Amino acid sequence: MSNSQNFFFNDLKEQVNTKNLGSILRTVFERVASVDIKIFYDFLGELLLEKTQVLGSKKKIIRSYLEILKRAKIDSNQLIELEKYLVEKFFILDNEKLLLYFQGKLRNKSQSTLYKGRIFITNQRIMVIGKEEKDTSLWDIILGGF
Amino acid sequence: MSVEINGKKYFVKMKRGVSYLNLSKKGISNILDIKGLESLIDLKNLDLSGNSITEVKGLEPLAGLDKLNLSSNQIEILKGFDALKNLKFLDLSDNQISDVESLNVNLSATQFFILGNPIVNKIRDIYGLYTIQNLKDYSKRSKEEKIKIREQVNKKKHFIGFQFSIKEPKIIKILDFYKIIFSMKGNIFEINTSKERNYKIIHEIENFLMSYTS
Repeated sequence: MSNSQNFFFNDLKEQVNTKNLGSILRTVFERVASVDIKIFYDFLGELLLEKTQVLGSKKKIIRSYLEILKRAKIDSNQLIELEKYLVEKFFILDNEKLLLYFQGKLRNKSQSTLYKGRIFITNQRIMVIGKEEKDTSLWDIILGGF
Repeated sequence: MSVEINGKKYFVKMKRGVSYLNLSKKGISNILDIKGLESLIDLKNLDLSGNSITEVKGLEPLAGLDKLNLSSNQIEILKGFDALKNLKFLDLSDNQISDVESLNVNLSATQFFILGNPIVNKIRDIYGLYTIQNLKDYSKRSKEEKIKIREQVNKKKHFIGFQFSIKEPKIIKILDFYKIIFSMKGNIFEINTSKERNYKIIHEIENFLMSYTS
């Protein structure tokens, strides 16, 4: 990790209070393929916990995050390890423990919603980082579930 | 014993051995307009719900009060309860309390209802605290504890994805060794590792959910 990368994100952090999210993310988009992705995760984690109001709605943040990932072209094995880093460093609670993580799908059959991505199971929560889709599984419609 | 509002008398009744005054929906906008209230020092239960009271003023003489219903009024600030040292039940549901600082009030009531006030959404948005007990507890925490709570809540609230609390999980079925179907609080979930057909993970989830249940 180079000093210039650190400067890049430190500089962005300072801009967070004055610039809008779109502008900051555009800057990240331009550089994300060439920076150490771990620095990006540190940047993102800190922003999420400290500057949420600046970042806007959660849906917007998730959309932006997925867009960044698409542009960063990270392979799926590397991605799940990086997200594990993000989850453990920024989102695990004091009395929470990450037990399992894997690629998969979580379907909420009662809400007909499908979440595709990386699944993290802790002793308190099931978390999915990825896409949310309306579940239109024909099998479910015909058979009414399982 | 009685009080008078706009020339009409209302009497204190005994309800299961407890003195009770029902002034619900009497068009009261100011407690001080209730004539004779100050003499009811032994009154235990007072119902002032469904009026248009904006401020709690004039209840100081009722030091013996242990149940007070002020729900469905227009109260904006949580104050005026300091003298009510014996209060055990206070219902302030459906009022207009919106100031977070109000929660720093010193209430003796052990049962405290505040749902239906703007403050509830505000607190929920800021701190993710949902229950009344939590709201009351929160107001009593030290500054350091409040910061700690906020940090923890933020960690949960701003998680970059979708999350479900694990509550009362029950395994329903395991399909073809790579799908597990389970219920949590009335919702049915399915975890599918079909892409990798990861039997080991399904087995671990099964063990985890079973251990959680037991």
